[in-house]
Amino acid sequence: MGIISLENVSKTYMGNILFDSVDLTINQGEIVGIVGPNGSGKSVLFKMMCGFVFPDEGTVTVRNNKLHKKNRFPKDFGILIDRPGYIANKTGFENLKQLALIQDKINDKEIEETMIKVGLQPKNQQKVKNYSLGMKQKLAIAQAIMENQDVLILDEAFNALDHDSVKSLRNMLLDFKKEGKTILITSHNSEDIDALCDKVYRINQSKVDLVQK
Amino acid sequence: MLETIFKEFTKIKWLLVGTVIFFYSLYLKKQIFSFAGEYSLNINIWDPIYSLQNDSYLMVYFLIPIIIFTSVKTITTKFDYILLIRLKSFNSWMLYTTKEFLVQIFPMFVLLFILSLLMSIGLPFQMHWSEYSKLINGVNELNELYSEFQNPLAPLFFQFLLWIVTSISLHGMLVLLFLMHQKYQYLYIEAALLFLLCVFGFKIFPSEFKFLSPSVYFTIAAAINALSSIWIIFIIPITLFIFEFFIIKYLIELKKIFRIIKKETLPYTIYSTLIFIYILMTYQNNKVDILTLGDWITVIFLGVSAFNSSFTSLFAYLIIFFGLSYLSQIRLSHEIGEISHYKIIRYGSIDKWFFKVFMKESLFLFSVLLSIIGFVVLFGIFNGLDPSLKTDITSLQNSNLILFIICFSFLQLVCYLLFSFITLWKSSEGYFLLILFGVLSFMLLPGINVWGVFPVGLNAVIVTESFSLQHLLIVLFAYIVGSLMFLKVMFSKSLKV
Repeated sequence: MGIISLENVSKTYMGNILFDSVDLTINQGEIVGIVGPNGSGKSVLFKMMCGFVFPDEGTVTVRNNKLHKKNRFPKDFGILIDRPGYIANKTGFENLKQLALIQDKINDKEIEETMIKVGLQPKNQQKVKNYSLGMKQKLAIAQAIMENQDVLILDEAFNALDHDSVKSLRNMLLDFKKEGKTILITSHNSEDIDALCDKVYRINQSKVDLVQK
Repeated sequence: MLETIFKEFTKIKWLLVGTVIFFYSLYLKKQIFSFAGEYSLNINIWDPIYSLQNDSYLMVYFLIPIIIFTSVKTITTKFDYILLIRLKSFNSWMLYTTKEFLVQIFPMFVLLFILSLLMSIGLPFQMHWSEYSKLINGVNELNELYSEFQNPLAPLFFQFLLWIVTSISLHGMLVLLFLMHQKYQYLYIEAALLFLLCVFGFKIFPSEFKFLSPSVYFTIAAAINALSSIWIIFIIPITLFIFEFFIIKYLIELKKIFRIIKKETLPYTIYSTLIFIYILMTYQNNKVDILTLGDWITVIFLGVSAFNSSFTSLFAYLIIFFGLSYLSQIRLSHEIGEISHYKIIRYGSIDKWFFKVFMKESLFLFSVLLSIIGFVVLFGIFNGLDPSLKTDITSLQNSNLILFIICFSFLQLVCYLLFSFITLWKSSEGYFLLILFGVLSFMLLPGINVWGVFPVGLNAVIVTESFSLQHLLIVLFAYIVGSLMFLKVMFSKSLKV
């Protein structure tokens, strides 16, 4: 069994069948790409893996633990889902610090290092509301990776990033893979998917099919 | 446009609005009959018609909220860069939204107009004012119409026109305020403040400043009372709309000025200022009757009950407690916003995350509450009041009075906090909070919460005259526990996709 498994999962949203009896296994240490047209359910798939959304039928298992009401959110998941989340009137560092304090696993220096890694200046006193889209995206990536999480779920992580940042993020993800991390990504840019992923799945007519590379 | 208005008219919501107005008009008609019968005054068709059309309570508590809600909804749904780029200017956008707003609001006025005419069935048609209309007393506002119009038919036309003109200018005001910042959150605050201004302006403002209250311009009788001339009544909203139109033309320059004001601190500054003004005004108006610190605290936290209510107390309650809840909502909306996913996964449990948020907000509410009470006490002491906590105004005495205000106000605020949380969790659209607090405000009106079972205003000192402390405690706890259980159920479901 992989690190994340979906068994016979079905999900309907607003009368639209997103998934119908889907089976999917993600193995540890892989970079897996999920592709599909807009509204096909990529984000919902990620949300089910994180415990935010329950499937109508079937089970989602993470590290051999079935996700259910009592055991809902998997541990050690770094996520970027839907859009960058931030507190607009705080600086980038303050935003990350607030999140880091919840688990209190990392110190200020580690937060600063993560910021530099994604291309942000930790000492920048600019409020996030004045950040460019790309900077907000980098901040979101920083929050997803800063606590050295084991599994990274990154929905459209390459959005709004400039050419150099895309390159740097790709290298970073490949380094994470070498460290044994499991990474799930979606991207509208097939280049990102081709350059990074060991496996690619396409959401097609409520099914998740493996795409031959 | 007529076709669109007709389409709007067929919506089910107008049936509901019509039903409410209908039952209210029956109540009004009954009152007219009973009053006229008691004093043996003759009445005719114009009495129920104009009583309904000029009823300030109906306007302020029912129609104005609908108008403000519709305006806010129009602004938020039509503020779209794709639309703006086609309309080419903010001015064109303002006119576009005004047209949309008018289409949506027009059926309500037609409905009110028709229902007011229906109320006249069975009464004699006369082309002169009845004895009832001519009567001058504190309740009957029809004598204002009688003094201005010789022909009772004339106000019909003017009244309808006034509704339209005032609504448009009110919408223009919200459009202008919104364009200054282009933030929905601030628009909701402004809409709430505008509503508060409408609710209390016409009762609290001294007669020379009554023209500043928007609600005055919705009824001919109140407007004549405030401004004396029928023409000025129309000139003010029309001029205001033109003024708003031109301000929008120079918006960019104005926005620079607006940026100077620290936006984050603005709600807190407004809240503190309102509290300070209220405390100052209350002291000025009541200093003859206030002898002890107990009297002073009681007057400030008197509040309203179903059986004993005054506009000043209602106004004060809304400022202190709904204002504070609104500040808490701003903070809550940050927590339940886009960052909540990233926090929840770190907590590993929604319950843990909620507990942190709940504790943080409860502490905030408690601290502000204690600060207000502390300020009131210090204000009283500095003004030389007898430091005794004894009072003749209420049966609560000494430490019981202070304990009641602290404990019950805190529990009541926790109730509002939980209701806000549930509303925000269900939908991040801010106008649902407006509806929530609109409903809660309605429950504060005289004669509504007669059994003391609605979870609003139960921390008012005056409520203790009608209900025991045990009763109030049970009701507040029941709602808190109920809300927590409801949240528990909500948290066990999927989050918003």
